Order: sequence, then C-alpha cells, then structure tokens
Amino acid sequence: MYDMLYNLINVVFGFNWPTWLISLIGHAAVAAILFAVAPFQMLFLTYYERRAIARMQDRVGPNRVGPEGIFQPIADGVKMFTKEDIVPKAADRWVHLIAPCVVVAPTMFMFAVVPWGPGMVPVDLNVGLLFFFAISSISAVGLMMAGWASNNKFALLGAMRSVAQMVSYEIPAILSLLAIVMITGTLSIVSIIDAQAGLFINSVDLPGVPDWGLGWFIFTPVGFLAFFCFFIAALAEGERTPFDIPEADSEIVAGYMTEYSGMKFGLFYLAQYVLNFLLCGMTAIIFFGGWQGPGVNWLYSQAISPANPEGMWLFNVLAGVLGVFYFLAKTYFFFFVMIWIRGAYPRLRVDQLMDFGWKFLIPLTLVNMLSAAIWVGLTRWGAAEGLAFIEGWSAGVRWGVAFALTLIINLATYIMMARIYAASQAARSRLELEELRDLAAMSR
Amino acid sequence: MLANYAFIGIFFVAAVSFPLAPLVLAFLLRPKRPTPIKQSTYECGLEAMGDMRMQFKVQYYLYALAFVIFDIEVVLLYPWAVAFNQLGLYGFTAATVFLLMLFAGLVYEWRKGALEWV
Amino acid sequence: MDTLIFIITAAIALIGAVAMVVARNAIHSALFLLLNFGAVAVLFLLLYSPFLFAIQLTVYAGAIMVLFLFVVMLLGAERIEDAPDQIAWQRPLGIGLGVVLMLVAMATALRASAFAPPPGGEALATFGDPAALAALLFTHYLLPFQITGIILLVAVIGVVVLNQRGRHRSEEAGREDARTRRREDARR
Repeated sequence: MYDMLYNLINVVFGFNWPTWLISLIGHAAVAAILFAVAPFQMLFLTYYERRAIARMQDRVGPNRVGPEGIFQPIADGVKMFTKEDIVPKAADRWVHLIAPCVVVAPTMFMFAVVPWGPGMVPVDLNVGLLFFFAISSISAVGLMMAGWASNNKFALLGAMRSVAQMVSYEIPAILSLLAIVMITGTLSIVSIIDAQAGLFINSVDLPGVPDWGLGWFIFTPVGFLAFFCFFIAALAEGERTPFDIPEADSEIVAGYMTEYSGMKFGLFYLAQYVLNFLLCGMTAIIFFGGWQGPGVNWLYSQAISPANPEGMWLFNVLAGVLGVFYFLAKTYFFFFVMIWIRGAYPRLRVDQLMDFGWKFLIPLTLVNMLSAAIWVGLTRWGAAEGLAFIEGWSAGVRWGVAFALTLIINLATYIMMARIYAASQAARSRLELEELRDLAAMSR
Repeated sequence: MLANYAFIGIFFVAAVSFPLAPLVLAFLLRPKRPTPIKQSTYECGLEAMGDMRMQFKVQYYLYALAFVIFDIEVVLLYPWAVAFNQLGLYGFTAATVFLLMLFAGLVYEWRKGALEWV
Repeated sequence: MDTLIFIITAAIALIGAVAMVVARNAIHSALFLLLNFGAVAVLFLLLYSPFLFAIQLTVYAGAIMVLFLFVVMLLGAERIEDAPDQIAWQRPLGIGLGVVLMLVAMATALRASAFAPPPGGEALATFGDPAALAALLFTHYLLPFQITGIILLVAVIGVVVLNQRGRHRSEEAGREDARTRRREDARR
C-alpha cells in the first residue's frame, strides 16, 4: 500500500517527497479510514444484534425506519447527539467527562495492530498480541472512573463488578493464546495468520500439504481447547450475556452507565460494540486464520508485495477484497454466536462467574499449554533439542502421534475438570438448599 | 524499528482525539436545561438514601491481588512461549518448574477457599 | 526527533508524578499515576524495548492500577487527605528520602556513560525482542527467574492468609446477621 502511494506521489506526480513523509501520510490515511469504519461497524452490529435477537425471541425487531429498519441505528445516533447531557450534582464533573474517553480511546487504539487482509495491516509489531491485550486492560480503569465519578451506588457496584470480571477473565484469555504463541513462536499477529496456511493440516507441521488457506489452529486439539477457553473469556471481557452482571438491569439499573446520558452514554455503547467486534476479529484471526481462505494466498502471490515487486496491482485489489471478505465473514459469524448465546442462556451469578473463570478455565488453559508443548516437541524437535527418540520419524507420523496424544490429554482434562467443577457447584447448591429448608422450618 | 512505533504514535493521537469529536459536536447540538430534579442522583425514582460509600466485599480486593500475581507470572511466560521452539527441552523443564509453582499457588488458593465468593 | 519525544514524555511523566503527590483526592492521585505510568511506558519504547513497554502497560497501568483503585474504593479513602497529617515528621522525611533517591539516580546516570549506545546509533535489530529476552532469561538469569516464581508463590500464600483472617471475622458476624434477619423475616 505504501509502495503504491510512493509510486503515485513520486513517480506519477513527480513531487519527490522523502519516504518518511509518504509513509506518514499513508499511516494517517489508514488511521482515518479505520476510525471512520469503526463507528459504522458499531452501527451495523447494533442493528444486526437487535434483528437477530428479535428473530430468536419470535419478534420482528426494528423495522420502521427505512427498508427493514436499516436506518434505525442512524436515527439512534442522531438521538444521541441531540440528547441533553445530564451530570448529577453529586458527580465529579471532570472524571465523569474523561471516563468515556478513557474507555473509548484504548479500544480504538487496538485497531492499530489488527490485520484486515494480506498485506493490509496498519502496523505489524513484533509484540502485536501483547500490545493488543496490554492496551485492552487500560479500559478497565475507565470503567472504574465512570462508576466512581457518578457518585451513585448502582454505578459503583457495576464498576466494581465489571472490573473484577474483566480482571478474572484476562488470565485465561492470555493463557489460552500463549498455547498458540508457543506453536507459532511469534507475537506478531501477521505471522500468526501466515502460519495458518495448509488444508486442515498446518503446512508448517506437515510440509507438502496443499495450501488452501485452511490450516487453521482450530483443527488441532490444542487450538480447539484454546479457542473454547478464549471465546468464553472474550464473552466475559466484552460483557456479553451469560457474563453481563456488570449491567444486569434487573439488579443494578445499568451498572457503571447509570448516570450517563447523551453522547457520553453513546461513547460507552460504541466502546462496547467495537470491543466485541475486535474480540470476535481476534478469535477469527488467531484460531480461524483471519483473512486466510481458499484463493487468497494464490491471488496475493501474483500481486505487488515486498516479495514480488513485479506483480499486478489488480491482484492486490482482488486479494484484498477476498481477504477482507473472509475476515469479516468470520468476525460476523462469531458476533452472531455471541448473539445466539445471549438468546439461549440466562445470566450467571457473581460467584458462579468467578468460580468458572478461576476454577475451570485457568486449570484448563494451563493443561492446554502442556499439550502445546507436546505438540511443538513432537512436530518440530529432534535430537538437537533433546528428543533423540523421534529423530527418525516422518513428518506424517509425528503429526499423527502429536494429534492423538494432545487429543487424549485435552479430552481427559476437560472431562475431569468438568466433573470437579460440577461437583463443587452441586455441593454449593446443596448448602443453599439446606439454608432454604432451615428458613422454611423456621417460618412454620 | 522505532519507525513502526512512530506510526503507533499517530494511531495513539488519532485514538485519543477520536472520542473528542462526537463530544464536541454533541455539546454544540444538545439542549442545556438543567433542573435540580434532573441533576439529582438516580435511585429507582426515589430520593437517594445515604451515601455512595458502602462496604464492599473484601473478595473484590482479594481477587484483584490474585490477578496481579497471576498477571505477572503470565507476563513472564510471554518471552518463554515465543522462544519455546528454540529453547528445547531445557527451556521446557525450566518453565515447567515455574508453571508448577503457578499451579501449586492456584491449587493452594482453591483448597484454602480463597477463590470462594461467599 | 527522539530527544523531542523524550522531553515531552518525560515532562508528562513528571507532571503526572507531581500532580499525584499534590492532589487532595486519592482517586485523582491514582489517575495522575496512570498518566505517569503511560508516559514511562513510552520512555521504554524510546529505549528500544517494546516488550517492557507492553509489560509496563499490562502490569502497572492494568493490574496494579486496578488494585489501587479497589483499595481506595473499598476503604472509601478518597477524602482522608482532608484531615491534617497525623505524623508530623512524615512529610520532611519523605522529601529527604526523595532527594536522596534523586541523587542516587543522578549519580548512576553520570557514571553510566559506559553503557552508551554503540557508535552506529541504532541498536541491534533483535535487541529487546521477546525471543532474545527469553534466551537471556532462561540462560543467564534463570535463577532470578525462578526466585521470582517463589516470591509470587509467597504472595499467593499471603492472599490466602488475608482471606482466612477476613473470613473468620466476617463469617461469624455474617452468619449471625443472616440468622437474625431470617428469623425476623419468618416472624413477619
């Protein structure tokens, strides 16, 4: 993209600007485009969610503003802009104002490392994944500010709940990603996508597999368990339904957003949907190959790229369009799964939520890291790394043994953990029942 | 390499200024008619009772403490995970000792009931 | 360019630190501290260590900040500063220690010319890379690494002890409370 810009400015128009200025302009343009796209994603996602959840609940959903209600989100946006901004007398005015900005800014900042298609990444950092989660942890402070500055009981309760929840589920999220990082050996998000070429079997594990762009990590036992844990943790981080106690409207009004109105409320809403979009996108990127899919790699190999300067620009466009299509299709699918879960499950209690994170997901992800170690050891190592006995095995045998072994370990751990967890939950509900019986006996 | 981070800087500036634009626009568009009732603290339509400062469960704090500890351990595991392929069996053993400590800590907390939300 | 960014971020960090000490409200202090953490993270970037930049943000701006805010909110301590200082010698001692710390830092900085960047100006391409860091961490600094693990384990034990102490007290009170409340409910 920057090469194209360079050609356009220096060769076509003959301005002879220095390279840094051109890349500066390029990045500013990319930032501007992305930040214009993000609010539209949010508008679309709100409409998508309302229509989908309405279908599941046997309703129609918004259908009056424009054909099939397609302009409903725009009408909502206009309303946000023209609503009065009410700040309670008791609130801390400045913190109340800054809080939504502290929530939105990190969310937007995370776009800086998300790749959309082949060669279409704003910045490819070598610590991209770490950067993504480091930035995302800052918005917790913004929620805390919002809850405190409102000087309202519900707001503070909601903020405490949401921060405790985000904090508890950040560890399983990162631990499940570490298993993938062990396999790819990189924190760069672009390299993680590049490592997912192949056809059901990753072409790094088994050289010679045809490259259909389908060597996703989801097809390995390690990747599957990591996906399972990561997606649940993502639901909690994005405060999606089974984990939406921070804004449980029947208990604490709207949580930390209780005292917000107008555009400030709109910003919280925006941050939430953009974060959900990013988390779905991350799931698609790390476990489902991001823009990888049949055809993209072939198209991109014909295009202008650092590896192939003599390509055709048309293939750049085609590869980009197809890659972005695959990426967005996967992302919207995961967003649909989030809506589906919202339609299917009731809200958890705080204690259930905490138990699930600490006593189920974290042990599971830790074992998954062990499986990842076995996977890497069996598929990549030899005598040099201290595993002399597998030196003579062919790549296919290695892959088969690794697959079977990790599958057994992960399955056994899952069943064991599920049993332990179910037993502890049953014990708790027995206690609660006893207390209820006590109560009944007393009233008699 | 630092050039990459200069572009991250551009993104940072853009991200920080992003929420300001709608806020300013809304400031220009919206009506401003504050009344004492509107500006009172919301509490289910009734007068607010007592102070916001209530007693919170100490569990919130304990979970945050546990989080800080585990977060540091996880952060130390990042470089290990990246270099895992090159470190070989030696690195695996070294990190297994570390991970076992993490696991022991988790099991200890669990058995002692520190992860209980009562 | 680098120097300019350094001066700006260092100034932001200093402003954040001073404002944190001066602010009367504990929550405002915590937020200024967040500003300071962010600026320090950028300083790590200027030192060619993106990994430390990310860690500074995750651990300090993410985790430790949340801990601070929880403590302040749990205690409802944001206005405790309104009261006059209980300990008269606290402030002069703090200033004295601060001056000593600054002198030590300055002495280190002046003596550290040996660690100046190589004449080429640019650091190695792999410098500060997570993989390079791990290679060092697991060979040369393996013992400190494992000791960190042990320290963290001790911290976990500390959490458990804190929890047990809190539990004993609150459990007795809480159970009695619930009993009486239930009895009253039942009577109604």
